[in-house]
Amino acid sequence: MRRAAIAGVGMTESVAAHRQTYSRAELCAAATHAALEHAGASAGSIEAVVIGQIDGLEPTSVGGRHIAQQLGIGPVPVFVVSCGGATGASLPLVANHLIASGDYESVLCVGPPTFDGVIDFQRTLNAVYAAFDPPLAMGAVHYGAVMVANYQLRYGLDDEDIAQVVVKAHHHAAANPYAHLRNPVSVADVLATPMVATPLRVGTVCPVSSSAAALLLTTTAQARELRNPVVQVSAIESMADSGKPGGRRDFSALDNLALLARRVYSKAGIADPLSDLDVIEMFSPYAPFELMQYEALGLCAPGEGASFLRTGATMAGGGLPVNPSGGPLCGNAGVAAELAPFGYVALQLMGQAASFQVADARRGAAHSMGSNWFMCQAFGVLDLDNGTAE
Amino acid sequence: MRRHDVDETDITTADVRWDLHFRVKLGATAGRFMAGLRDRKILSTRCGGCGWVYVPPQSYCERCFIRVEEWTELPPTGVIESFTVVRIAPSGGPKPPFVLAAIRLDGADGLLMHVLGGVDIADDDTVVGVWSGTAVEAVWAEERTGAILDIEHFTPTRVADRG
Repeated sequence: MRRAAIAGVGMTESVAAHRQTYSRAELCAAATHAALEHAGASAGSIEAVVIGQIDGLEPTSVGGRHIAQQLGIGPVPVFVVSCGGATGASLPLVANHLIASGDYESVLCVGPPTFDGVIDFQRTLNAVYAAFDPPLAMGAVHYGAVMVANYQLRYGLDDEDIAQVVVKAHHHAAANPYAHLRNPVSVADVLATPMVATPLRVGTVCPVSSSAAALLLTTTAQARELRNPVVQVSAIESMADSGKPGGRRDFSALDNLALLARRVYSKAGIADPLSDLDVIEMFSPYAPFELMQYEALGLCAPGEGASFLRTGATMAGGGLPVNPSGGPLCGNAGVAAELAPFGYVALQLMGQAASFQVADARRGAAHSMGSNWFMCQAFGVLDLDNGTAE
Repeated sequence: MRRHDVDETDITTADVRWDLHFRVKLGATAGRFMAGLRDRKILSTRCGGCGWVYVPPQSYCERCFIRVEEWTELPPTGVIESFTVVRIAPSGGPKPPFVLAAIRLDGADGLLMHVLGGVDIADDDTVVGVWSGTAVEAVWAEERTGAILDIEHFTPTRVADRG
């Protein structure tokens, strides 16, 4: 099976969703043409579009398909993906398969903003969840709080450790022109913000942002004819469990991500992620999730997330920087922010990082997750092309 | 960026309100659970393969991927696995602050989400007598309609060490 490569990355600036004055289609068109320009590819070269949408959060019935017709690239087949918070990272998954199948040479992934139209996000999400779960006034942040609290009850986790994740994110985002929040913050600043649901405070959860992202995926052969160093998709998979607490013994570990990561590592030939990977961009909309994700991704043992953070390994300049872009804690536009990790990692491997450049980055991983109890997970490994692969 | 600039006199938003009502099909498995609640019974299903006890009941085992057909009634008691003190919440549910808890009913393997009642939430968000492992019991609503809120809430049981 031939492999796909990321040839171009396009992102728009990020603002608070309620301040956005451009339409979703305008933002997606801007990201699309930025990706084409970045790759040095023509609009006419795109053979298919994969676009994402999260059900229930936009007043549409066509899953973003209407946006694809307004990108200024002509009528091409459109594939729509909707799998909650894993939607963004599932776009390159679909594009990768379309290219690997031999049917398409050049596929555009479009991550629109998700929260531009919705006025009360948590309330709307609660109504969406009510179609599956009993109505108990739960939004995504409340699910997240119960999960993190479970981790905290099991292993102990200081509020200072949680805040430290935010301090790191803001420090990284300060250098990223696409981040929404770029102000430096201290532990004290974070701990002074109001509580949402223990232990999550306003300062430890993501902002509601607006931006669009686009990736151009092509065959490796075509990417070599374009402008950038070629970044290959070595492995990418997605997975979901039932999203029901009745099937879970506890929430203190992201078991679904751990299982997915093992599969993806095995496919990509990664034995020890800590030494084999050079950079990771992960979707951690709530600060403590990042620590739980270190564990699920095999970077440290269960319960060791906070002490691993304290080693500085995941800081810019550390052994394995995590979210050098700042990640969703500094900008979460929904599908665009779930796709962004692949864009940010690709830029790192191209030597064109949006923020802190990881020295000699050759291999990276990107991730997104979401939906009920973060049931949907998507994860992939990208490699800088060494010129030998097909 | 190839886009037209927005002028501040441009009208860039339009209000859209979807006031939609749905009657979601619960299905036979959840339907039997809801009917049980109306009759003050908590019904679960048990996997014949791995023995996992699901509450709310599920019709397929997530672990074995086989049909689950054995029904068992569980006691209205259990222990807290995790909980959060909710300070900000969407309208339409309990009024914050309240405690949202993941509860393992006695005899169940998985978790049931519900709210805790009869507890005092301090200003610093501590809840006296509530921790991982705290025993709780269901408090039934006077009027029951076959819905999850037929259990008004769970509350810590008086017996400190139920084992």
